[in-house]
Amino acid sequence: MRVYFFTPKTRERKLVLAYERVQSVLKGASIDTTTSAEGAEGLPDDMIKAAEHRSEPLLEQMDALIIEGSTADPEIGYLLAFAIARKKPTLYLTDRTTTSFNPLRYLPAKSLPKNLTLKTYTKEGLEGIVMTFLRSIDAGAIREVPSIKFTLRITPSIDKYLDWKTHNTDVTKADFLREEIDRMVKDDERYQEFLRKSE
Amino acid sequence: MPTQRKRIALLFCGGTTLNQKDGPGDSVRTERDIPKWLANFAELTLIADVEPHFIYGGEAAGVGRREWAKIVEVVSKRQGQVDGFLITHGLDTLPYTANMLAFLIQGLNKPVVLTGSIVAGKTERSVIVESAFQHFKGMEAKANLVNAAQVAASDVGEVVVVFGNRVLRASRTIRATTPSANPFDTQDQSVLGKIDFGVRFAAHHPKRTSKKPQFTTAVDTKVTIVNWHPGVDMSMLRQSLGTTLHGVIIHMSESNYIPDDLYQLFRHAQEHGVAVVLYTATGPKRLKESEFILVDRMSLIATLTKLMWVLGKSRDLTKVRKYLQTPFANELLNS
Repeated sequence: MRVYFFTPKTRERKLVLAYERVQSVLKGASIDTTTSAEGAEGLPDDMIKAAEHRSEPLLEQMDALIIEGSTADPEIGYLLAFAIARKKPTLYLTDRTTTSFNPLRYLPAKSLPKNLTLKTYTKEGLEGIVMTFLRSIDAGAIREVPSIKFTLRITPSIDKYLDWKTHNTDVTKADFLREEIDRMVKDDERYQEFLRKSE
Repeated sequence: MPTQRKRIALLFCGGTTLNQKDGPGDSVRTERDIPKWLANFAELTLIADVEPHFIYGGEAAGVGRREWAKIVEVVSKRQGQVDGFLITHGLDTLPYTANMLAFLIQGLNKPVVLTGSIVAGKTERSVIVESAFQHFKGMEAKANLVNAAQVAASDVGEVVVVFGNRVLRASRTIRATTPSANPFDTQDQSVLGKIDFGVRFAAHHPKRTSKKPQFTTAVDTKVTIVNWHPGVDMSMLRQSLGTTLHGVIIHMSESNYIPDDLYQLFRHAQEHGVAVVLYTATGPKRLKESEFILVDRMSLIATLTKLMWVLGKSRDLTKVRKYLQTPFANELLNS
């Protein structure tokens, strides 16, 4: 998965720090990211060649967009229009304490598509917003570090099954269980609904 | 600081189909279709306020002098009120309208952008539309129009064509001659801008100027293109010269040598006040040009549309020669 992260130029320190925090979250989640500051220079050659061969804008190659909209920029309206036209999952962020120009006010409320997530953020909540957005696009693409220790007693027959399932594979029994649970989480519509409501 | 809201005029001249289903409001075939089309494409308003104008809603092949005049009229009347113009157009004949508008609208310090939908009803799909559709079916029509709208709101001061990831000079746009994902190209492979994560213009792109724009709708359509091939009797053209034809382009791609019978035809044409343009991509510099006007630095479409525009200004052959050999709209290749 590759995300395009658009950040208007600003000298405002808190926004620069917010940009850095978003990039840090993306990096931590092992998401390939292209920022507006680096543009095409940050892309692998084969991706640039493929876009050129198909005569497509590079934006077309992105799986999702994150736009920091606290500073007015004419590119923002264009990126939002492209994202809506192409149904690209897009997170539109604005700092809660900044009075920003809202380009979406020109769009009729009923025209706001589901692929567009609008969030105002605080310094403390920014990372959570970005992670929730990334999970909503493709949980499998995000690398979460298993950090919570959990002791689980299992029956000999379960253990036998896990031995059989992971025999001659590179997957450990613990990895296998984690992957199965991840799949259950992804497929559990009621839980996904619960996550959406609790955002 | 809030940026100033842009306003663009959107001229509907075909090429509007938004998706394959082509349901109500997905195409603009009559003026009544416009409100629903705009409602189906509300995201366009994120780029600029849109001022719609209906020009034409039929097949691309039907666009000609009348539609060009309508476009020029809208551009001329609304130039003071909008930041740019976006013209939708069927793909088949888009290069002709683009080239023609480059001559009819000169010195306008605002963008005039042509683009078209790759989608058309299945029965209406021509070879060019089908080819573009196969390559761009993942991209859909809206993305193309969004890119074009962004160029229409930019600071470029020229008539341009936007398709795929390229911004091309209208006066150099031709149909791609080699298999390509993009149906449009330029003969000298020049591009005015690229679209990657936004629109990026080349350093030399013409920006808005304070020059007074010039508009005209005078076009002489009594012109034709004749392909010359060795051994073909060209005397049949004689009857049309001076009666129905005011200008003829002889397209020579096979040879640099002009046979005697062709020279006789040129002299006959000159006597009847008909402009004869010898179009050759190879440029036979050794030829004497007294009986004809040699053109070797423009595309064939630019040569045709320029001849129509020039003859609309004057039929004086000295002036026709001078105008044809003078650049007016960045039409000279490799310049």
